[in-house]
Amino acid sequence: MTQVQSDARKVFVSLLLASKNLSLYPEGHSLCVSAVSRCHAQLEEYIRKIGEFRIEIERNRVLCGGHEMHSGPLEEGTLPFTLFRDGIRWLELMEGVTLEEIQQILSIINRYTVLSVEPEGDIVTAFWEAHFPHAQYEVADLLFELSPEQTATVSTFHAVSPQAKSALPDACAPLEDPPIDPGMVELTSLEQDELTKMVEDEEKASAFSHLNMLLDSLLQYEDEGDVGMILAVLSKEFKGSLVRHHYKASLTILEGLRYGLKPGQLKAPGAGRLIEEFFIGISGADSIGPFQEEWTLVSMSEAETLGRMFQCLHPRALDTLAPLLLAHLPDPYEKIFEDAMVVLSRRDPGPLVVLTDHSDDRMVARLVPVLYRVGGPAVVECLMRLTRHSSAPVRRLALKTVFHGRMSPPAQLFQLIDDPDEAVRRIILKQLGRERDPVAEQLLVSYLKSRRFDAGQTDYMTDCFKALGKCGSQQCVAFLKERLMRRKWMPGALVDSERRAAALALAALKIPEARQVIQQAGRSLFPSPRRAARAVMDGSAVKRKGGQ
Amino acid sequence: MSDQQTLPVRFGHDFLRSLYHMIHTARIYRDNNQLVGKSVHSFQSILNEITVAGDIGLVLWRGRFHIGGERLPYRRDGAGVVSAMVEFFSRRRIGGIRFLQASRNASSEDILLFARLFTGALQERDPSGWLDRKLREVGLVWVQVSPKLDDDQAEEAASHEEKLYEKARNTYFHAVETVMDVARKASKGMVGVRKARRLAQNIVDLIREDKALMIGLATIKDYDDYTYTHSVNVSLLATCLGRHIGLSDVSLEYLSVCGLLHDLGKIGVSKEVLLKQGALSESEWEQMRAHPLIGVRQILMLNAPEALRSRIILGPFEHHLNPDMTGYPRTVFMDRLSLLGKILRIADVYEALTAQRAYRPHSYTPDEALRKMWQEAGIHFDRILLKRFIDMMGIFPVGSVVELSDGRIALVMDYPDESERSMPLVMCLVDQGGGELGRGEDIYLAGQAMKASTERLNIVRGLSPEGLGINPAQYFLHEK
Repeated sequence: MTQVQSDARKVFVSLLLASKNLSLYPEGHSLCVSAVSRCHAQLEEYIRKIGEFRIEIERNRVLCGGHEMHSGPLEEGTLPFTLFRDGIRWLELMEGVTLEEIQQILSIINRYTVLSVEPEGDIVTAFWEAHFPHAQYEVADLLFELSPEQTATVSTFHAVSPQAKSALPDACAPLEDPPIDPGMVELTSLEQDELTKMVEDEEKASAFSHLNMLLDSLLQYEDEGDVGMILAVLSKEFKGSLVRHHYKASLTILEGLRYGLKPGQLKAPGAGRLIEEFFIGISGADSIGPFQEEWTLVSMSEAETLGRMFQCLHPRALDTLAPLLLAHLPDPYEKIFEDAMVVLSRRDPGPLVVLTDHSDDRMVARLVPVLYRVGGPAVVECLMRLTRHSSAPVRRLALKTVFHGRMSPPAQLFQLIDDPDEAVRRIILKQLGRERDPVAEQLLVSYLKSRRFDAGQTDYMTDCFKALGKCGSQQCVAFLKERLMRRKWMPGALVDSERRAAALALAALKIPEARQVIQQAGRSLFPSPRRAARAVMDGSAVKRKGGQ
Repeated sequence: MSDQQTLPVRFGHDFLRSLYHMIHTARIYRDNNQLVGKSVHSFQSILNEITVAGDIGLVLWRGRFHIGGERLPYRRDGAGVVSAMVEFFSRRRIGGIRFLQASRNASSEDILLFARLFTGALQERDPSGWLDRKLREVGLVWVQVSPKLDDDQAEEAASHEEKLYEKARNTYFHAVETVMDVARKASKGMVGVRKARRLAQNIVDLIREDKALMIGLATIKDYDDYTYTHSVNVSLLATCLGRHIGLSDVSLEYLSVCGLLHDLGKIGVSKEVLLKQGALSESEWEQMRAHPLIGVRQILMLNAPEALRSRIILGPFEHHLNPDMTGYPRTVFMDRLSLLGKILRIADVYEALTAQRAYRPHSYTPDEALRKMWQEAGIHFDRILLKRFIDMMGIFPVGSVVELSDGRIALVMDYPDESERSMPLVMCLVDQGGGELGRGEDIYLAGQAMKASTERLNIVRGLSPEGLGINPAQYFLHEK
């Protein structure tokens, strides 16, 4: 073996080795990097000493400079096999070839070693598009099998129709306009700039610039099958846009389809149903779920785009979107996402309601404000149900929301007066005492008549009486009088507290009959009612004085 | 292949000019003349440059010089020298000179001796044989001469050019077949775009090599399968325009594929409608107007990578839309056309106007088609792109059959000078009897400055090639 042959073999082996490493390890792996570097160094050395390095690939051998580098059938998966399979007859690496070029060439070969069923291109296309400055190759056009017609000459085309031939005498009649003046088609500098921009824009054309065209096609198609096909493409594009964080593209698709659902926009019967199904399909957790976490990391403008996009989804998307509310995002972000959820739930509150049934306490609590903004009978019903939720904070929130939205009269929630959570009870009492209400009055009287308070509940008992005073009327005066004046065989602190509470309630009634009872109690022979009444009267006096 | 400047482009004209000057000055002056010394030195320097990688041959074939196997491109500023050297070689019946790499070591005296012998060969009965013997006698072994080539040798010498024609021809035929194949199979979802892409890459390469040839090829018409040849022609013209405005090769590839597939939707239109003579009824028009939409459907059914599909689908949808978005299909979401769509529209209309159609037997000559389109600049076509299209095609586009001011019929072959768009290089067509028109002399109309104004030729008008029974593409491919 001559020195030249030996050198060529070394380069060839290093190429194979580098290619092998690239197929086994990720591209940045140290083994790959060092193999490619070694290959490049040997190649440079070879080119310096001998000239271009060119391998010729044949079915059963590889040649370099006329010498066999390999003989026998090419092994599948190897560099020569892949090159041969794709029709590369020879590959030449020339002076100046860079490490990056070698890396790129090997990467391309590696990428296409396994032919995909749906062709994502091929080595020849990838080489052609890469435009290597220091690599040349020749391709056998394997794709084009020769047939007799293909070797025909131009004359085999029938350039003139029989009808047209008969009309030929007229065909030569020239137009009367003068020839174009070449000066007129020269570009002005402005036009030249515009053209440059057009070309630049085309070169960086977004992979989504065809979306509007697809949407326009969808409106025009008259066949349901065609609409289905466009929707299938749009569904893929939608997911692709999310993967690539091209939220504007996602928005374009969804807003376009929402537009299509407006009356009179679609031509194909059944297209509207298909679009609705599309929305249901893409709104599922399996479709948008994987992106949930990424959406907590977006910029403000992206969040705004996302917000608009979410508003287009089907309400079932709430399953995926709701957790965003617990992601501790800054307020403006939360507001955007919450707004979107409100819009979706107004379209159909069902998924939101279901979500409140199956979520943890934190989530349900976070959903209560959303429910409030959505409104409607289903939401009210849901909130009412939440007032009996196992979590006290949820009950509190639900209760406040119900009362704030005047969704229910307080009396309807009277049973919460015995809620284990003190705050809930206070909310109820506060609501009960908000205005004169005979129903509340009656409920409270009944409650106070039957309820047995213990010594530790005096404050709560007082609050109940006060609430009665605020919502009650002449009707409850007798009851209060009885509680203020009654004589007990074994008076104690609890009874005293009850008298004081009844006196306070009477004072709160602010009616003459109630004042008469207080005065009467103030003159009582028994110290206990007298003290209670006087305390109220003194309090009123002090209040009046202070007021003056 | 990598895009490197070829040898003829880099050095061809300089080399020929230096050879011409050396021979010219040596014929006039003595050896010790300063001008002679300068011209020899100049020739020697450029000879050193072009032989750096090996021997180099200068071959004259069919009136054109080839260096290193490639045709010397036409350059207006070099036309005079080329013409003089063609005559110089022809009169001596010399077909080529080969400078071996050893010429790098040749002395100035030896080079001058070569020039004098070359000039003196004219006096001999067998100039090339004499020159060959003489060169060996005096020991000038670094240069070899060959006699004017007979046909067989000529084929070999011009293999590069022939290969180019073959590649162009094959690409064209394969492209037609591929479009037919895609049209047949697309709706069944059984066809990919790999072939179309490869062809598009070939088209881009060929246009880079010889744009005029590819424009000439776009004159092929086939009445029987008009849609397919039309699609290939549109692809060629659109890609040429794309290159003319500076699109990258990858964008050109997409544009070329767009052209091939732009009328795929026509397979959804009945033949009766496509070939109907006379006006179409409203329902027939409906069918016609649907073809871009059908085309979109067909392209979506191709087995193609999504990224590619997204780039090649817009043009076919848009090719009947005007810049203001009127036309068809109706659009709601799109507010402007893509660049590829605008280019396709121009190429599509130009191609259609220059073809005979059943509904319009009057085909326009290429110059008429351009004039008609120019009237609609800005309305139906993007004004800037149409300007560039006309600039590229020339006022009498490449492939036009024209009548010259002396009554001869000629074929427009090229506009070699970028700045000259109305005076092309034409090839006269001479009657060979039986109505056959054969190849005549090449005349560069813009290169007649030396002639008296009365002798200068110009184009009087364009003629219909069909009327004359001419298929211009045959002349471009040297089939005639």
